[in-house]
Amino acid sequence: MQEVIDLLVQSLLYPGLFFIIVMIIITQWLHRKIQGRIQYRRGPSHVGPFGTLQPFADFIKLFIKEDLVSRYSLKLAPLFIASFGVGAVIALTLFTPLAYNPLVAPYDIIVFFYLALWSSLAIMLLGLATPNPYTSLGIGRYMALLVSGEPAFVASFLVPVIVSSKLGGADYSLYKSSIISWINWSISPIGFIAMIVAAIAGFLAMMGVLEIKPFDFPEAEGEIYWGVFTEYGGPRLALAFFILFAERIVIPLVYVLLFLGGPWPINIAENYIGGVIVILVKFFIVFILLSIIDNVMPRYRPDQAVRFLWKYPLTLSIIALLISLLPL
Amino acid sequence: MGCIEVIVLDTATLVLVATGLMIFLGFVVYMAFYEFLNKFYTRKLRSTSRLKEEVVMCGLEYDEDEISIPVSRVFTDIMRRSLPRIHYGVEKGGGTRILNDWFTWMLVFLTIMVILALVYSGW
Repeated sequence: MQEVIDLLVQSLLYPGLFFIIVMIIITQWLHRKIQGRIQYRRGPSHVGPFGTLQPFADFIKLFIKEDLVSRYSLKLAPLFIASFGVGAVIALTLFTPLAYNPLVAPYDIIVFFYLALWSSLAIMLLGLATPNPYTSLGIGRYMALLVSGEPAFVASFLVPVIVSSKLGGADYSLYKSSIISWINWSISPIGFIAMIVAAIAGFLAMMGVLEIKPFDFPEAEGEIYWGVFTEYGGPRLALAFFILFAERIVIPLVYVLLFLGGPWPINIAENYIGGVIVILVKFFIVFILLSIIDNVMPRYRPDQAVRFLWKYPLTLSIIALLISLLPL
Repeated sequence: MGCIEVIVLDTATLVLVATGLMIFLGFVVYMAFYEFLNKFYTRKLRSTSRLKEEVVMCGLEYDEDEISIPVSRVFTDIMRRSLPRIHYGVEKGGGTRILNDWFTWMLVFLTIMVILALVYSGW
């Protein structure tokens, strides 16, 4: 019974819903500040100290707007799909070392991919619930992105888990792999090669999955008016953004855990708070890098992006996967 | 806070727990943000006009029967332009060019990777 209560508290407060909302506010503020600086603007500066509460104000504004639904759209289904998408992303945090009572099982990396795919599919289904030519274009493009980005994402993120399991007995578990992922870089030359190839492929695939420029063609404001979200506004748009922004926290966080050593050089089992701080510092470095790339890159055409994702991240990730399967 | 207590489950139970958590958190998000914050807080803002239901297709003229375009055509066109050889292979080798084939291939690919991981782990 105590375990169930702990699990519910973790999923609602830390590292669950409340933590993710706070992180969305911080990361969106950071993203908009970086965007402002790159475009010779100041970025958010009025609401709260240094404008930190501007994303929160925007979030609340969207949620308390009147809920408009066209008569050709599905009414309830998008709300549940979006809510479950948010739930899937938040549930992922309980498998990471950020949780003080993390969930662990052999082969739980499969559950990570299952939940991560759920959130991507939720965005696609949100678009399918509203009829509009721009929405259809957006979903067609998003499907092309998923078919191109997801295999590379899965293959590359499997590599550190396989190497950790072979070298350190991580049982294909996300938590155990995160704790010992730093040894993958130093213990064997083959493991090092597999890790570096997978890290490059994983970063590119992560950009694709998160729709970071140059891979944001499913939204493409100037061409197809936000594609999947064309018909959305108010609380429905807020829920859709909730999935996107939460994904932009959780997936880079898992990248940090698997490829950048997680809590290393601190042993999180002995010093929990120190380990969490190290993970968050590494996460913010990756997030700032992604934000800068998102703001300075132009957008690929859909066919260019799909060709790129199949040519480089997928090929590299398969090579890394094959190397990781060799005797280390 | 110094020590971590890991909750160890078997894989099948974890899938059920993860799905349950996803549904629970989704329900909490739906109730807190949509039912409570939106419906309760903004009740006064609700307009009775039916014009809002007509706001569709960015203000363009529309025909009810042809309101949407086939998503699969957009998808297959992108794949044909970007990967002509692979698209030709899927079209001829996979049977048809419909969207489900592409998703089937992706699922087959993901399944192969998972099976490889399981086999090499000595399961």
